[in-house]
Parts: sequence; structure tokens; C-alpha cells
Amino acid sequence: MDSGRDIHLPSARIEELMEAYVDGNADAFDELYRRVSQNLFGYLLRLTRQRERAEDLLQVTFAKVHRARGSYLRGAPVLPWMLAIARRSFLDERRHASSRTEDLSFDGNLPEPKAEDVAVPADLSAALERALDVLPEGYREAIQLTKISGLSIAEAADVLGTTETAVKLRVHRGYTQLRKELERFNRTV
Amino acid sequence: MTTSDSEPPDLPWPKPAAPGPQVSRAIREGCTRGLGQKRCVPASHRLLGSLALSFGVFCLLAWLTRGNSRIDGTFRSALIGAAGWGIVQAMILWVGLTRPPGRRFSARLRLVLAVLTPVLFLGYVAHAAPHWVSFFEFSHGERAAHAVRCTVVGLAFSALISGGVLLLWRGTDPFTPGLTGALVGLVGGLAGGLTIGIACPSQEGWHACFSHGLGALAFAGVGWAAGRRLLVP
Repeated sequence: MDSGRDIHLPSARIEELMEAYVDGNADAFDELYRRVSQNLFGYLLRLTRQRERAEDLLQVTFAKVHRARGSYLRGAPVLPWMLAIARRSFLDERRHASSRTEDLSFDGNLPEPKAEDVAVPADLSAALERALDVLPEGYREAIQLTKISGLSIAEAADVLGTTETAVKLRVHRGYTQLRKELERFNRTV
Repeated sequence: MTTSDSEPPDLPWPKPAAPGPQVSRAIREGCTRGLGQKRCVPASHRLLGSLALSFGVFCLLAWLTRGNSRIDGTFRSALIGAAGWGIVQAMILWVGLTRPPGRRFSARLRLVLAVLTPVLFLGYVAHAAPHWVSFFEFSHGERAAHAVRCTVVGLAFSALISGGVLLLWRGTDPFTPGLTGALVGLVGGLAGGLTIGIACPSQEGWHACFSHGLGALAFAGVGWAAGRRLLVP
């Protein structure tokens, strides 16, 4: 197996790891997976809110990445590139699901799973997790990408297929709703 | 407005969760089994291939129809016009495709290019036409039949070029595949329009607009739809 040029895996940027993977270096893939899988899985989990679906979609995403590695244009930012593939996988899956027999909501989308009405969250971290879950999908995605996955506004706009202004607006509105949810939590405890 | 204006301070943002070990193992196996070096065509080679395809088809049809009777001087001016629009095509490909996705020019600039260029091309075709007949005359009889034949040939060449360029860039853009596809379609539409403009002896205004010029606009739309399917990894 030709593993391409030698790189020092622990210190390599993920773009370099991707290029080494394209060149046939399996160790580079392992390192790449170690670095990006949590971000991709966290994003998919936030979108689906179901662990099994998120894991299925993660496998679909990496299968697509593997098939498309020859069309990866060197220099493209890898994490946004993979997140965009993950997002399209999610949208495809949802489109297929909605064409089956599930009940649709009035706007034609699948009904979003309701956040379970459980007891008051134990701490701020749990309250934030719950508050994120009740945000509308667009706000949730924007906050997930910029605050948790660590993307810049421009990169998040690329992944979401929208403008930077729209991402800023979604994050701003998301924060406004988060603040309300967290104030409710503060009053309760 | 900035994102930090309303950011709640010091929130303990959740750490991304990890997928299960079985899933990770399955992914690693799937992605590394029989892993060999994948031939990765650089963007510059794809760009040169796109230009060569467009130029090659143009030259082929110009050569095949070199014996067509034309009004004196129009062939030469059509060639000069085609050379100018060839530069525009190269610029569209450079702006739209050469940089890797995620580092390309702003989507707004590319959208303006995708919308404005076919309108300008239509304006150029209309302006370059030396004479016009009434719309009734154009839309009836032999003129109409000729316009339909020209349109079909022009669209076929546009489809050939757009399809070839789309295949050259297949699976390269998960971010803005529709917009990139529109620019590719536009390049094909322009090449098709210029090619039929060289091959067709008619210089009448309505004919030039409908049969030679509208293809660029139509193929920008077709490219938008095709790009969303073909350019996504």
C-alpha cells in the first residue's frame, strides 16, 4: 500500500491528514477520525436527538467521505466539508422518511421529538442541554456549529448554505431564547 | 449586530458526545479496508479540462460549418466576439470553481455573475444583430423552422459542454452545489450560443436572441438543478 508522503500524525492539521488519507494512509484516517468524529456525531445528535439515528448517519457520512475522497479538492477546510456532507445526509434521510408513512406536521416536516417533560435540571449544564433541545432547528444548528463545533461564522454559513448575516441572526435569536430558558431555570432553583 | 452582543456569559457548552465503539470500529474498517492511493485531480487540471472541452467543441463546429454562406465580414466579427466571451467563460470558471470549496469567492458575487452574465450575453447578441424582421415574420414559416433547428442544435452543444464540465467537477462541492452548477451551466450555455452563432448563417435579431442567446440563461437554470445532484459528494 502506498501511504503517500510521511507526516507526523499527532501534530498534522486535519487538512494534511485528509490529504494523507486520500494518498492511501490508513493511520492518517484513524487520526482524522479521532479528531473529527465527536464533532460530526455531536452535530448529528443535535439534529436528530436520537443516538441510533445519529450513529447511522455518522456511518453514512463517512461512507460518503470515503467514496468522495478522490473529489476532495486539496486545501478545502475539512471539518466544514464533512459537516456539510453530514447535514446533507441528514436532510436526505429526513426527506426519505417523510415520503414514507409517518405523520407530518402542518408545515410538511416530520414532527420534532418533544423534549421530555422531566424534572427540573440538576445544574446549569443540564439546563443548557435542555434549552438547546427546545430551540427551533435553525437556531440550534447555528449555535451548535459556532459554539460547540467551533466553526467560524463564515464556515457555519457554508455548511448551512446561507449567508453570514443569516447565521449571525440565527445565533442572536437562539441566544435570546436560550436566555429566556435559563432565566426560567434560575427562577426555579 | 455581533454574535457576542447577546451571548449569555460563561455558559458551560456541552462537549460533543462520542459515538459508540462498535460504530467507530465499523467506520474505521469500512474506510481503511483495501485503502489505496486515490487519484485526486487538482482544481487547475479540472479547470484546464473544462476550458479545453468548451474550446474544442466550439472549434469543431466552426470547422464543420466553415463552408456555410454568410454575410461578408460577419464570420470574422463573430469570431472576435467569441474570443471575448471565451475570456468571460474562463473568468467565470476561475471565480466559480478554481479555489477549493469553502475558500471560494462570496456566494453573492457568484450569484450576481450567474444572473448578470446571461442577461449581458443576450444584450450583446441583440446589439450585434445587423437587422431585425417583425416578430410575426420571425415566428412563422421557414424562419420559425430554422429557429427551432438552431435552438435544438445550440441546446445540444450546451448540454454536451455543461454535462462534460459537470462530470469533471462531480462530487467536489458540498457547500453551494446549486450555484456552482449554475455557473457551469452558464459556461456551457455561453459556449453553445457562441458555437451556434458561428455555425448559423442567419444574423437576424430575433433569431439571434431566441436561438443563440437564450440558451445561456436556460442552462444557468438547468445547471442549478443538475449541480445539486451531481456536485454533492
